[in-house]
Amino acid sequence: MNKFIFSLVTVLLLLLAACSPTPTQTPGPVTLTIMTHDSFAISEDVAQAFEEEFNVKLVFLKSGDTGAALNRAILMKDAPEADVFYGVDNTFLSRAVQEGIFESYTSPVLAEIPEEFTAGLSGVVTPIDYGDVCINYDRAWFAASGLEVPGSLEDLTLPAYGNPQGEGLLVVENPATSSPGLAFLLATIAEYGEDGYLDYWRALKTNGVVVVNDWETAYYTNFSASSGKGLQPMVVSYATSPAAEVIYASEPLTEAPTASIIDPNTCFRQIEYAGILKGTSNPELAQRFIDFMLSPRFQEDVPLQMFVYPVNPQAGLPAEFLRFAATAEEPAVLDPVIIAINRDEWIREWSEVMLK
Amino acid sequence: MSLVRGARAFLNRSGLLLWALPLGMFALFFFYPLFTILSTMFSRAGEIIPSAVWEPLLFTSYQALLSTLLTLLFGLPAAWVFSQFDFTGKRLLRTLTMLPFILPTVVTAAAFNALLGPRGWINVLLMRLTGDPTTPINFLNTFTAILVAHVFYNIAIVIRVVGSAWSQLDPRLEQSAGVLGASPWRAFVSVTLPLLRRPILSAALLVFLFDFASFGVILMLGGPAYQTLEVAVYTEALRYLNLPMAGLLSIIQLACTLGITLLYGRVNRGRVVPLFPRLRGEGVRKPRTWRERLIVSMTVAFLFTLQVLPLAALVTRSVTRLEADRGQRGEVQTGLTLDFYRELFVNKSQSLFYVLPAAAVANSLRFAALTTIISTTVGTLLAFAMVKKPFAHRWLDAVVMLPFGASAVTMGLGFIVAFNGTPLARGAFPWLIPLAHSLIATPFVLRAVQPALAAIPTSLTQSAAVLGASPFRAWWEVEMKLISRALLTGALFSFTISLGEFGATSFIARSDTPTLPVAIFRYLGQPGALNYGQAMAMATILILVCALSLTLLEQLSSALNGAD
Amino acid sequence: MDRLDVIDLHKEFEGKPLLEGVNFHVTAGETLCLLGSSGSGKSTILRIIAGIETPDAGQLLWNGGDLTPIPVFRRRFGLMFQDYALFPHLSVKENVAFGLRMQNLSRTEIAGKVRAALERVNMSAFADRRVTDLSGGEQQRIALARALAPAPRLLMLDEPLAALDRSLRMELQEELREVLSRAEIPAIYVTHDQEEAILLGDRLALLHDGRIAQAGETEEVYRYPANRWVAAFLGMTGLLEGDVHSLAPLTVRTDCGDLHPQLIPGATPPGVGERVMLLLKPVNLEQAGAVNGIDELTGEVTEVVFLGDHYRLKLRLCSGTQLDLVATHRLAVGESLKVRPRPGDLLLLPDEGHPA
Repeated sequence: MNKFIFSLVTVLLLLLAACSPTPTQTPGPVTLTIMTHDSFAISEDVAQAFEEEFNVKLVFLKSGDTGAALNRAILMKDAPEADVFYGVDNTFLSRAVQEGIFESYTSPVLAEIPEEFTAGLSGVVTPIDYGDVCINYDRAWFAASGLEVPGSLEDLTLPAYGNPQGEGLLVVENPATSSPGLAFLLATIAEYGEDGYLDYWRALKTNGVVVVNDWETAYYTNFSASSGKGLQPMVVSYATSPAAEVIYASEPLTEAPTASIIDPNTCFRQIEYAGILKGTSNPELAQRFIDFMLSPRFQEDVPLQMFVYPVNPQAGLPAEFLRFAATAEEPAVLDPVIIAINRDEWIREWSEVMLK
Repeated sequence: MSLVRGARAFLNRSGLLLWALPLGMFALFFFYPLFTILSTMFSRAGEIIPSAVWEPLLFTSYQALLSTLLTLLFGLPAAWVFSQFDFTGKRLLRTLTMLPFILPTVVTAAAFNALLGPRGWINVLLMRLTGDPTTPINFLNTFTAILVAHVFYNIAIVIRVVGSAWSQLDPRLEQSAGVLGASPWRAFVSVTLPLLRRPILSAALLVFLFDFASFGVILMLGGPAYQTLEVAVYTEALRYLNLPMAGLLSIIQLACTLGITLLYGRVNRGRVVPLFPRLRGEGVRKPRTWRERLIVSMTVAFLFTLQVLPLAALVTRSVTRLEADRGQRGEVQTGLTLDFYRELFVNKSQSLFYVLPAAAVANSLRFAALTTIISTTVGTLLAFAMVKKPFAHRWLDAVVMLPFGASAVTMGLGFIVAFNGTPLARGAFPWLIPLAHSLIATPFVLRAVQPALAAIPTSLTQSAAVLGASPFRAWWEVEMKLISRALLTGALFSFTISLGEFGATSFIARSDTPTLPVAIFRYLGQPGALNYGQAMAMATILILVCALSLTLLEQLSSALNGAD
Repeated sequence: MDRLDVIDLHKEFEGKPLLEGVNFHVTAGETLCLLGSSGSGKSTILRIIAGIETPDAGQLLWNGGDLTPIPVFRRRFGLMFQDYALFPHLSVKENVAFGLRMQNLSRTEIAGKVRAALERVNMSAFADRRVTDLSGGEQQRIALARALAPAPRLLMLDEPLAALDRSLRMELQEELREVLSRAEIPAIYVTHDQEEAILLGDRLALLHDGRIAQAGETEEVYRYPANRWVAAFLGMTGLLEGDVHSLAPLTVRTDCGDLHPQLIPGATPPGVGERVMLLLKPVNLEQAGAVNGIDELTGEVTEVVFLGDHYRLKLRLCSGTQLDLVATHRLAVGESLKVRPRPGDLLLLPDEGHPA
């Protein structure tokens, strides 16, 4: 009898020993900690290049989605866990700036960045990348149905794209729980104004728009061109998603199965920023890292790691992006300050209309 | 000298040594971060919106109550079948019914999607049969989906907790009721049911608390129209950045949990039915009459449909290519492939955060093993303390259950705020994850062990002592042996809870030690058939790892108790 | 020679005194039967001797050495619990081996001793059975074997036969007597059954009101009960009051005439004129003395019970006192009878009836 309890304990201990922790922090001279969200990714060699150049060890602290990571930084602003924060976007930016978590820094490389990304920042944070939240559509479905791809937000209220009895052709994410959902809501507010956007959404509702909570469900369950093979041929996703579909296809593709609607004012441009956290013990290195993030080496790594576009126009784009992805010429624009003031109110109003 | 003796006597009498570790753990790793984060939350800017409290509170209670009733409705017959009958594949089915427990909601959503989604196997099959191009079953984003998922997740609790008590019940009690003229139904209602009141209430409480704190199921299967308190905390804290509101909702959720547990304590008072350990296998038999056979096969069929089919759909999905030909929508080309598994071993984008499946498995197992060790130790100590040195029993019981009602978001943030910069968070090995998992797992161990311990007559340990067993040996050779089965049940739950936990983990996991659920989520975060397939493959690996661990532990259990 | 002395034991139970100065001793080779009604604290004494409970005051001496500092598991005493307390998770063999394992004996040694212990109680065939499968009598035997196997220095049995039916009890009484007489260690046997005590005990100790009312050789105690309670507990209920008339010969004047009781050896003789209590032990009619006017008792038969090989009668004497009679022939109820008790059947109770 004895030996069975013993063996139970032994098995657990062996398991523990077998998976014994490998020391993760090799004693380097200095560590630079970057706090970010779960979607952050970087190539090994790119990170290594920085580490070698400045004789520093990079540590990445990931903490859930953008909201979670930002919350973490805000809650810990008196005793920051990291030196650099990366990943706050223009829907959250003003809030972060208000909380005063960032140290001002104007990178010399910023001069090379188009004004579109730097306007109104007053040197607190640095734009790193951007992505357009656009409606993606199932190319095969539209080809087969003979239906024309919608060319504007207004088109989406047409009966042809709807189904008054049930589910229409478009699936969107809940702005209360999803980043692209919020971005798309902002696009509609930019287009129809604070007074008109709810009417537009009412029309979408009548037309059977499907609302789900998260991008994963929208894309993988509802969207017909994804692996989930859902019912909706249109989904709110990113302009880069078609490229990702090609790169991560289960067998080589010559053509993307999906495409984005990038007509004027249909997309919302999310810009992601990096900032130096107040109270860092390595301000010098933090500045170098911000510079590095703007350098072509990092900027060219961004598209395939995170499926966003670099803000530095000098950074070359991968072939798949050039072939299968496109950016909106005229994305919807909203002032980050106005977003910060009204964001919560808009979401609550939207929920009242769409979810009740 | 006398001071030392006096101190020792005090420790002995108060059982302070038994209480110290569990209470210390709850104080340091639950209350300390909780109070830290709540006080931080209320010191931040934000507004309290009273109207945003009622709706989630009502819905949370309503869906939890309904889910619990349904889980009992389907779980009790299954518990009966498992405790009374022997049938082919019983052990396999019992292991399989535990599996849902481990699954992160992302995977469960994917599994239900693979089975019941618009292009799930069932809809595809029905559409082929009827030739109707519209999907006959609309399952996802409905209230039904929430209820089904809750039953899917929690039926194992009812089967385990009630089933094990049922199999310990002296069959002669029901027989004697029969002799006294009670019909089988009346014998059941008037004898068996009252005797099983405690385990049933115990299971119902656990199920209810789990459903009450439901997050992923609501978010991913229920859809935006449904909001529980836990979901509300998430949106208020992480989307609106309205921390005071999140704090208020957290407190309401905690208060409800405490209230429900205290209420349960009141209802559950009264004598413990002594369950003198009975022979295993006694009373378990093959179904004999056609009626029994019908009930057994119906139960097996039901459990198979509910528990096994979604998992099977997911596993099949991980080896199936579903690629539509260009321009030919609807005509889905299917084929078997191992590509998704092969690709798991390729760091296609050269990412720094790429993790080998084996490494993710190792991380998960390590955390699960640590969680099991911590929670069985602490849970057993607590059980001993509660049985031997009872002290404010009902309140402490409720306190132990509190972590169920603590929102993962609040606790995650609390851990970060409270332990930032401490060796706990920074050390080479992240202890916070197993500790956080243990907070949820410990009540399971306690619930399993406490009744088993209370049922041991004191004369057994005394006679061991008279026979020359030191207190340690008497404890080890008698009490521990007699509770070993209960302990094992607790350990099983701890292990699986840890393997599948995602919410708190995603907050505090270090990016270089991702667990399996975290790895699955990484693949699901990006578009592309390959990513989706890899997520399914990773989920299949999680299921396999868990099934293997469970089988191993079940083997140990039967070895421990002689032949099955 | 091993010897246990129990000196002035005190113990409270739930605030009420249970033991108020218990004294007795037991030596090797003898069985002491501790007799008392239920709730008198017999089991508590055993538990104190075993070390499971600690006395509030008093001493336990083992061969003159204090037992108090020795913890229960080092006393090497054997205790058989009333409910047997067999370990349900262990087989018969494993139960018996438990105490031997605690002594860290070798495997072969343990196996040999287990076999011997099981043989001693005629249970060899049950070695591999589960204890939960056994009947009450079988469990009792295993409990005895388990207590004896580690060769304890002292054996205690707590009402071991209480839960068994009569015929089984008779059978096991014989076996126990045999086993106890062969075990050359002191044994304490707790029971509330006087027949069992007389059968098994070399000496008796009667516990009453927290004290030992009387202790001594079984025969001595039976012949000379120290007081009315002891006499009643042993089944002697005939009592008669009277005044001492003369001392030589000792004559007591009662309502039923002058009687000449025996004085218990060693007891202080009463003074003339003192009010005393006489004990009338059951009289066997066949052995009673010839009626000749001296110590003659006249009464009426009130009850006749047939007991197989003899009859038990009750005789109501002059003052209403009941006298028990044993007869081999039948007498009718209502019949008048004269008897003359043997000298030993008529005792002056020393502790009773002093100055009235």
